Amino acid sequence: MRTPEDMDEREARELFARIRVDERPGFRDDLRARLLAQVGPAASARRSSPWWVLRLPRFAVGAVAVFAMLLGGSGLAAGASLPGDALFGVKRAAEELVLALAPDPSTRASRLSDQAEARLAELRRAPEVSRGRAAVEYAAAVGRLAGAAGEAQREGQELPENAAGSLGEAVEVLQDLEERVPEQARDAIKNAIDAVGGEKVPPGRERERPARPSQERKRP
Amino acid sequence: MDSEQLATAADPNTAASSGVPLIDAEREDAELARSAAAGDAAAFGVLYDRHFSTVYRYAFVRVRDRMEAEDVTSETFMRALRSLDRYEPRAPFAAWLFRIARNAIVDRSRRTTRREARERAVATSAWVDPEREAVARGEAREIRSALERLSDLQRDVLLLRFFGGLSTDEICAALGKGASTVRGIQHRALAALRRELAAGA
Repeated sequence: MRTPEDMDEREARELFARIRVDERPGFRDDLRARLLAQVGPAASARRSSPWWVLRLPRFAVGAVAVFAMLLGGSGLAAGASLPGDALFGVKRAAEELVLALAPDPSTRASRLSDQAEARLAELRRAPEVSRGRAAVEYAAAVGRLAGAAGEAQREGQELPENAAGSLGEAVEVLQDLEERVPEQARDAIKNAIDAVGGEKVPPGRERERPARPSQERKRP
Repeated sequence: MDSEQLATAADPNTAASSGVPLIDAEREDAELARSAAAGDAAAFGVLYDRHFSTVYRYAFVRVRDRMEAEDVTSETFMRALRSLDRYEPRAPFAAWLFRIARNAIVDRSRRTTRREARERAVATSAWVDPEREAVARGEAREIRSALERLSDLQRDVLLLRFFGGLSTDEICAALGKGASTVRGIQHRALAALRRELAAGA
Protein backbone atom coordinates (compact mmCIF):
# COMPACT_ATOMS: atom_id res chain seq x y z
CA MET A 1 0.00 0.00 0.00
CA ARG A 2 1.26 3.47 -0.83
CA THR A 3 1.95 5.83 2.05
CA PRO A 4 1.74 9.62 1.78
CA GLU A 5 5.56 9.64 1.88
CA ASP A 6 5.71 7.37 -1.21
CA MET A 7 3.36 9.71 -3.02
CA ASP A 8 5.47 12.70 -1.98
CA GLU A 9 8.58 11.05 -3.38
CA ARG A 10 6.93 10.01 -6.66
CA GLU A 11 5.30 13.37 -7.22
CA ALA A 12 8.52 15.23 -6.41
CA ARG A 13 10.56 13.06 -8.76
CA GLU A 14 8.13 13.76 -11.61
CA LEU A 15 8.18 17.46 -10.82
CA PHE A 16 11.94 17.77 -10.74
CA ALA A 17 12.31 15.71 -13.90
CA ARG A 18 10.70 18.66 -15.70
CA ILE A 19 13.64 20.93 -14.92
CA ARG A 20 16.06 20.72 -17.83
CA VAL A 21 19.71 21.39 -17.28
CA ASP A 22 21.66 22.34 -20.36
CA GLU A 23 25.37 21.95 -20.37
CA ARG A 24 27.70 23.77 -22.73
CA PRO A 25 29.37 21.23 -25.01
CA GLY A 26 32.98 20.76 -24.03
CA PHE A 27 32.69 22.37 -20.59
CA ARG A 28 32.89 19.10 -18.71
CA ASP A 29 35.99 17.94 -20.59
CA ASP A 30 37.72 21.33 -20.43
CA LEU A 31 37.28 21.55 -16.69
CA ARG A 32 38.40 17.96 -16.26
CA ALA A 33 41.63 18.63 -18.13
CA ARG A 34 42.30 21.81 -16.14
CA LEU A 35 41.70 20.06 -12.84
CA LEU A 36 43.77 16.98 -13.58
CA ALA A 37 46.70 19.23 -14.49
CA GLN A 38 46.45 20.70 -10.98
CA VAL A 39 46.40 17.43 -9.01
CA GLY A 40 50.19 17.03 -8.91
CA PRO A 41 51.00 20.66 -8.03
CA ALA A 42 48.30 20.67 -5.32
CA ALA A 43 49.79 17.54 -3.73
CA SER A 44 53.28 19.08 -3.82
CA ALA A 45 52.00 22.28 -2.20
CA ARG A 46 50.36 20.25 0.59
CA ARG A 47 53.55 18.31 1.25
CA SER A 48 55.61 21.49 1.56
CA SER A 49 53.16 23.35 3.83
CA PRO A 50 50.70 21.41 6.01
CA TRP A 51 47.39 23.24 6.49
CA TRP A 52 47.84 23.80 10.21
CA VAL A 53 51.10 25.65 9.59
CA LEU A 54 49.19 28.06 7.36
CA ARG A 55 46.27 28.43 9.71
CA LEU A 56 47.85 28.64 13.13
CA PRO A 57 49.40 32.10 12.79
CA ARG A 58 46.14 33.59 11.51
CA PHE A 59 44.17 32.08 14.40
CA ALA A 60 46.82 33.12 16.92
CA VAL A 61 46.94 36.68 15.64
CA GLY A 62 43.15 36.90 15.71
CA ALA A 63 42.97 35.57 19.26
CA VAL A 64 45.61 37.96 20.53
CA ALA A 65 43.88 40.89 18.82
CA VAL A 66 40.51 40.02 20.36
CA PHE A 67 41.95 39.62 23.83
CA ALA A 68 43.89 42.86 23.49
CA MET A 69 40.74 44.73 22.54
CA LEU A 70 38.69 43.17 25.30
CA LEU A 71 41.32 43.95 27.90
CA GLY A 72 41.48 47.52 26.66
CA GLY A 73 38.90 50.27 27.04
CA SER A 74 36.79 49.02 24.15
CA GLY A 75 35.81 45.83 26.02
CA LEU A 76 32.91 47.30 27.94
CA ALA A 77 31.57 49.19 24.95
CA ALA A 78 31.77 46.06 22.82
CA GLY A 79 29.82 44.12 25.43
CA ALA A 80 26.94 46.57 25.23
CA SER A 81 26.98 46.84 21.44
CA LEU A 82 24.03 45.90 19.23
CA PRO A 83 23.95 44.38 15.73
CA GLY A 84 24.97 47.10 13.32
CA ASP A 85 27.24 48.85 15.86
CA ALA A 86 30.90 49.17 15.03
CA LEU A 87 31.95 47.15 18.07
CA PHE A 88 29.47 44.34 17.56
CA GLY A 89 32.08 42.47 15.52
CA VAL A 90 34.46 42.57 18.46
CA LYS A 91 31.84 41.07 20.75
CA ARG A 92 31.08 38.33 18.23
CA ALA A 93 34.76 37.54 17.77
CA ALA A 94 35.16 37.10 21.52
CA GLU A 95 32.11 34.81 21.59
CA GLU A 96 33.51 32.71 18.77
CA LEU A 97 36.78 32.39 20.61
CA VAL A 98 34.99 31.09 23.70
CA LEU A 99 32.99 28.74 21.47
CA ALA A 100 36.10 27.41 19.74
CA LEU A 101 37.45 26.33 23.12
CA ALA A 102 34.41 24.14 23.92
CA PRO A 103 35.77 20.65 24.65
CA ASP A 104 32.69 18.67 23.53
CA PRO A 105 29.38 19.04 21.61
CA SER A 106 27.36 19.43 24.80
CA THR A 107 29.44 22.38 26.00
CA ARG A 108 29.34 23.80 22.51
CA ALA A 109 25.54 23.65 22.56
CA SER A 110 25.51 25.36 25.94
CA ARG A 111 27.73 28.18 24.69
CA LEU A 112 25.66 28.57 21.54
CA SER A 113 22.61 28.81 23.76
CA ASP A 114 24.31 31.70 25.57
CA GLN A 115 24.87 33.33 22.20
CA ALA A 116 21.23 32.85 21.21
CA GLU A 117 20.08 34.39 24.50
CA ALA A 118 22.43 37.31 24.00
CA ARG A 119 21.02 37.87 20.49
CA LEU A 120 17.48 37.74 21.86
CA ALA A 121 18.33 40.31 24.52
CA GLU A 122 19.85 42.55 21.84
CA LEU A 123 16.75 42.14 19.72
CA ARG A 124 14.67 43.46 22.57
CA ARG A 125 16.93 46.50 22.91
CA ALA A 126 17.43 47.14 19.21
CA PRO A 127 15.95 50.34 17.78
CA GLU A 128 13.41 49.80 15.03
CA VAL A 129 15.87 50.67 12.30
CA SER A 130 18.16 47.75 13.14
CA ARG A 131 15.53 45.28 14.33
CA GLY A 132 15.63 43.32 11.06
CA ARG A 133 19.35 42.82 11.35
CA ALA A 134 19.06 41.86 15.02
CA ALA A 135 16.37 39.32 14.07
CA VAL A 136 18.66 37.78 11.45
CA GLU A 137 21.44 37.53 14.04
CA TYR A 138 19.08 35.80 16.45
CA ALA A 139 17.85 33.43 13.74
CA ALA A 140 21.43 32.55 12.80
CA ALA A 141 22.30 31.87 16.43
CA VAL A 142 19.27 29.60 16.82
CA GLY A 143 20.18 27.73 13.63
CA ARG A 144 23.68 27.06 14.92
CA LEU A 145 22.32 26.02 18.29
CA ALA A 146 19.97 23.53 16.63
CA GLY A 147 22.88 22.05 14.70
CA ALA A 148 25.00 21.75 17.84
CA ALA A 149 22.11 20.21 19.79
CA GLY A 150 21.65 17.61 17.07
CA GLU A 151 25.34 16.82 17.13
CA ALA A 152 25.35 16.46 20.92
CA GLN A 153 22.39 14.08 20.74
CA ARG A 154 24.00 12.01 17.99
CA GLU A 155 27.10 11.75 20.18
CA GLY A 156 24.87 10.42 22.97
CA GLN A 157 25.43 13.47 25.16
CA GLU A 158 22.71 15.04 27.23
CA LEU A 159 21.51 18.41 26.05
CA PRO A 160 22.32 21.11 28.64
CA GLU A 161 19.32 22.71 30.30
CA ASN A 162 19.95 26.17 28.90
CA ALA A 163 20.23 24.79 25.34
CA ALA A 164 16.99 22.80 25.70
CA GLY A 165 15.29 25.91 27.05
CA SER A 166 16.48 28.15 24.24
CA LEU A 167 15.43 25.64 21.60
CA GLY A 168 12.10 25.02 23.31
CA GLU A 169 11.04 28.61 22.94
CA ALA A 170 12.83 29.44 19.68
CA VAL A 171 10.18 28.37 17.16
CA GLU A 172 7.49 30.39 18.84
CA VAL A 173 9.71 33.46 19.04
CA LEU A 174 10.80 33.06 15.42
CA GLN A 175 7.27 32.58 14.12
CA ASP A 176 6.24 35.67 16.00
CA LEU A 177 9.14 37.59 14.47
CA GLU A 178 8.55 36.32 10.94
CA GLU A 179 5.39 38.36 10.59
CA ARG A 180 7.00 41.56 11.73
CA VAL A 181 10.46 41.79 10.22
CA PRO A 182 11.38 43.22 6.82
CA GLU A 183 11.05 40.87 3.84
CA GLN A 184 14.81 40.35 3.48
CA ALA A 185 15.09 38.98 7.01
CA ARG A 186 12.38 36.32 6.55
CA ASP A 187 14.52 33.77 4.77
CA ALA A 188 16.93 33.60 7.70
CA ILE A 189 14.02 33.12 10.06
CA LYS A 190 12.47 30.35 7.94
CA ASN A 191 15.85 28.60 7.86
CA ALA A 192 16.11 28.75 11.62
CA ILE A 193 12.57 27.39 12.06
CA ASP A 194 13.45 24.49 9.75
CA ALA A 195 16.66 23.89 11.63
CA VAL A 196 14.88 23.68 14.98
CA GLY A 197 12.00 21.70 13.47
CA GLY A 198 13.58 18.27 13.68
CA GLU A 199 15.68 18.74 16.81
CA LYS A 200 13.19 17.65 19.42
CA VAL A 201 13.57 19.08 22.88
CA PRO A 202 13.18 16.37 25.52
CA PRO A 203 9.74 16.57 27.20
CA GLY A 204 9.68 18.72 30.28
CA ARG A 205 12.91 20.48 29.34
CA GLU A 206 11.28 23.57 27.91
CA ARG A 207 12.01 26.52 30.11
CA GLU A 208 9.35 28.87 31.24
CA ARG A 209 10.07 32.41 30.29
CA PRO A 210 8.62 35.48 31.94
CA ALA A 211 7.55 37.03 28.65
CA ARG A 212 7.99 36.61 24.91
CA PRO A 213 9.67 39.41 23.00
CA SER A 214 6.37 40.24 21.34
CA GLN A 215 4.90 41.01 24.74
CA GLU A 216 7.78 43.21 25.72
CA ARG A 217 8.23 45.20 22.54
CA LYS A 218 5.87 47.58 20.93
CA ARG A 219 4.68 46.33 17.58
CA PRO A 220 6.37 48.22 14.74
CA MET B 1 13.05 -1.03 10.68
CA ASP B 2 13.37 -0.08 7.04
CA SER B 3 16.17 -1.15 4.72
CA GLU B 4 18.06 2.08 5.28
CA GLN B 5 18.04 1.60 9.03
CA LEU B 6 19.02 -2.04 8.66
CA ALA B 7 22.00 -1.07 6.56
CA THR B 8 23.04 1.49 9.14
CA ALA B 9 22.70 -0.93 12.03
CA ALA B 10 24.59 -3.71 10.28
CA ASP B 11 27.49 -1.70 8.94
CA PRO B 12 30.48 -1.52 11.28
CA ASN B 13 31.75 1.51 9.38
CA THR B 14 28.83 3.69 10.38
CA ALA B 15 30.17 7.17 11.00
CA ALA B 16 30.10 8.11 14.63
CA SER B 17 29.27 11.73 14.09
CA SER B 18 26.79 11.64 11.23
CA GLY B 19 25.26 8.17 11.52
CA VAL B 20 26.00 7.68 7.84
CA PRO B 21 26.86 4.16 6.70
CA LEU B 22 29.83 3.75 4.41
CA ILE B 23 28.63 1.64 1.52
CA ASP B 24 31.08 0.26 -1.04
CA ALA B 25 30.82 3.20 -3.42
CA GLU B 26 31.65 5.62 -0.61
CA ARG B 27 34.53 3.49 0.59
CA GLU B 28 35.81 3.67 -2.96
CA ASP B 29 35.37 7.42 -2.98
CA ALA B 30 37.35 7.66 0.23
CA GLU B 31 40.17 5.61 -1.23
CA LEU B 32 40.14 7.62 -4.42
CA ALA B 33 40.27 10.84 -2.44
CA ARG B 34 43.26 9.58 -0.47
CA SER B 35 45.08 8.65 -3.69
CA ALA B 36 44.18 11.95 -5.32
CA ALA B 37 45.45 13.85 -2.28
CA ALA B 38 48.78 12.08 -2.76
CA GLY B 39 48.94 13.30 -6.37
CA ASP B 40 47.13 10.55 -8.34
CA ALA B 41 45.41 12.46 -11.15
CA ALA B 42 43.55 9.40 -12.46
CA ALA B 43 41.91 8.92 -9.06
CA PHE B 44 40.73 12.52 -9.06
CA GLY B 45 39.44 11.99 -12.59
CA VAL B 46 37.21 9.15 -11.41
CA LEU B 47 35.85 11.26 -8.57
CA TYR B 48 35.20 14.11 -10.99
CA ASP B 49 33.36 11.88 -13.48
CA ARG B 50 31.28 10.41 -10.70
CA HIS B 51 30.17 13.67 -9.10
CA PHE B 52 30.30 16.28 -11.86
CA SER B 53 26.61 16.04 -12.76
CA THR B 54 25.37 16.37 -9.20
CA VAL B 55 27.44 19.48 -8.59
CA TYR B 56 26.67 21.09 -11.95
CA ARG B 57 22.92 20.43 -11.75
CA TYR B 58 22.75 21.79 -8.23
CA ALA B 59 24.72 24.90 -9.21
CA PHE B 60 22.63 25.40 -12.35
CA VAL B 61 19.40 25.61 -10.41
CA ARG B 62 20.81 27.67 -7.57
CA VAL B 63 22.44 30.43 -9.60
CA ARG B 64 20.08 30.69 -12.61
CA ASP B 65 22.88 31.47 -15.06
CA ARG B 66 24.79 28.85 -16.98
CA MET B 67 28.04 30.73 -17.02
CA GLU B 68 27.85 31.23 -13.29
CA ALA B 69 26.95 27.57 -12.83
CA GLU B 70 30.15 26.72 -14.69
CA ASP B 71 32.13 29.05 -12.43
CA VAL B 72 30.61 27.51 -9.30
CA THR B 73 31.30 23.99 -10.56
CA SER B 74 34.91 24.88 -11.39
CA GLU B 75 35.39 26.56 -8.06
CA THR B 76 33.88 23.64 -6.19
CA PHE B 77 36.17 21.06 -7.74
CA MET B 78 39.18 23.36 -7.45
CA ARG B 79 38.51 23.96 -3.74
CA ALA B 80 37.98 20.23 -3.25
CA LEU B 81 41.25 19.48 -4.96
CA ARG B 82 43.13 21.94 -2.77
CA SER B 83 41.66 20.56 0.44
CA LEU B 84 41.51 16.84 -0.30
CA ASP B 85 43.75 16.13 2.67
CA ARG B 86 41.08 17.59 4.93
CA TYR B 87 38.31 15.35 3.62
CA GLU B 88 37.09 13.16 6.49
CA PRO B 89 36.19 9.77 4.95
CA ARG B 90 33.56 9.01 7.61
CA ALA B 91 31.18 11.27 5.67
CA PRO B 92 30.20 10.56 2.04
CA PHE B 93 32.34 12.34 -0.52
CA ALA B 94 29.23 13.64 -2.32
CA ALA B 95 28.09 15.32 0.89
CA TRP B 96 31.49 16.94 1.43
CA LEU B 97 31.54 18.16 -2.16
CA PHE B 98 28.04 19.59 -1.82
CA ARG B 99 29.06 21.58 1.24
CA ILE B 100 31.88 23.11 -0.78
CA ALA B 101 29.47 23.91 -3.63
CA ARG B 102 27.02 25.55 -1.28
CA ASN B 103 29.74 27.68 0.30
CA ALA B 104 30.98 28.64 -3.15
CA ILE B 105 27.49 29.83 -4.08
CA VAL B 106 27.12 31.82 -0.87
CA ASP B 107 30.54 33.43 -1.37
CA ARG B 108 29.70 34.33 -4.94
CA SER B 109 26.35 35.83 -4.09
CA ARG B 110 28.13 38.14 -1.65
CA ARG B 111 30.60 39.23 -4.30
CA THR B 112 28.40 39.55 -7.36
CA THR B 113 27.17 43.03 -8.15
CA ARG B 114 24.30 43.93 -10.41
CA ARG B 115 26.70 45.29 -13.01
CA GLU B 116 28.55 41.97 -13.12
CA ALA B 117 25.25 40.16 -13.51
CA ARG B 118 24.36 42.33 -16.51
CA GLU B 119 27.76 41.74 -18.07
CA ARG B 120 27.33 38.02 -17.57
CA ALA B 121 23.94 38.08 -19.24
CA VAL B 122 25.47 39.72 -22.31
CA ALA B 123 28.43 37.34 -22.36
CA THR B 124 26.15 34.32 -21.92
CA SER B 125 24.02 35.27 -24.89
CA ALA B 126 27.05 34.88 -27.13
CA TRP B 127 27.11 31.12 -26.81
CA VAL B 128 23.62 30.14 -25.70
CA ASP B 129 21.19 28.99 -28.38
CA PRO B 130 18.30 31.39 -27.59
CA GLU B 131 15.55 29.07 -28.79
CA ARG B 132 16.82 26.08 -26.87
CA GLU B 133 17.39 28.25 -23.83
CA ALA B 134 13.83 29.61 -24.00
CA VAL B 135 12.34 26.13 -24.11
CA ALA B 136 14.46 24.92 -21.21
CA ARG B 137 13.65 27.97 -19.14
CA GLY B 138 9.97 27.91 -20.06
CA GLU B 139 9.45 24.33 -18.99
CA ALA B 140 11.01 24.82 -15.64
CA ARG B 141 10.32 28.47 -14.90
CA GLU B 142 7.34 27.82 -12.68
CA ILE B 143 9.06 25.18 -10.64
CA ARG B 144 12.21 27.21 -10.28
CA SER B 145 10.38 30.32 -9.26
CA ALA B 146 8.39 28.30 -6.70
CA LEU B 147 11.66 26.86 -5.40
CA GLU B 148 13.04 30.35 -4.95
CA ARG B 149 10.31 31.16 -2.50
CA LEU B 150 11.30 28.31 -0.20
CA SER B 151 13.89 28.77 2.53
CA ASP B 152 17.50 27.96 1.63
CA LEU B 153 17.43 24.81 3.69
CA GLN B 154 14.17 23.56 2.19
CA ARG B 155 15.43 24.26 -1.32
CA ASP B 156 18.72 22.49 -0.66
CA VAL B 157 17.03 19.39 0.71
CA LEU B 158 14.71 19.11 -2.30
CA LEU B 159 17.44 19.79 -4.84
CA LEU B 160 19.82 17.32 -3.32
CA ARG B 161 17.20 14.62 -2.95
CA PHE B 162 15.29 14.88 -6.20
CA PHE B 163 17.68 16.69 -8.47
CA GLY B 164 21.12 15.68 -7.27
CA GLY B 165 20.07 12.12 -6.42
CA LEU B 166 21.66 12.11 -2.94
CA SER B 167 20.35 9.64 -0.40
CA THR B 168 18.81 10.82 2.87
CA ASP B 169 21.99 9.79 4.69
CA GLU B 170 24.14 11.79 2.32
CA ILE B 171 21.93 14.82 2.77
CA CYS B 172 22.16 14.43 6.55
CA ALA B 173 25.94 14.45 6.30
CA ALA B 174 25.98 17.35 3.86
CA LEU B 175 23.75 19.55 5.98
CA GLY B 176 24.94 18.33 9.37
CA LYS B 177 21.39 17.38 10.38
CA GLY B 178 19.79 14.24 11.74
CA ALA B 179 17.60 11.99 9.59
CA SER B 180 14.39 13.05 11.31
CA THR B 181 15.24 16.71 10.75
CA VAL B 182 15.93 16.17 7.07
CA ARG B 183 12.72 14.16 6.58
CA GLY B 184 10.77 16.88 8.37
CA ILE B 185 12.30 19.61 6.22
CA GLN B 186 11.62 17.58 3.07
CA HIS B 187 8.01 17.06 4.06
CA ARG B 188 7.45 20.75 4.82
CA ALA B 189 9.34 21.79 1.69
CA LEU B 190 7.19 19.62 -0.57
CA ALA B 191 4.04 20.96 1.03
CA ALA B 192 5.28 24.53 0.54
CA LEU B 193 6.27 23.81 -3.06
CA ARG B 194 2.86 22.34 -3.76
CA ARG B 195 1.22 25.47 -2.31
CA GLU B 196 3.46 27.78 -4.34
CA LEU B 197 2.74 25.91 -7.56
CA ALA B 198 -0.99 25.90 -6.89
CA ALA B 199 -0.91 29.62 -6.19
CA GLY B 200 0.96 30.28 -9.43
CA ALA B 201 -1.31 28.10 -11.57
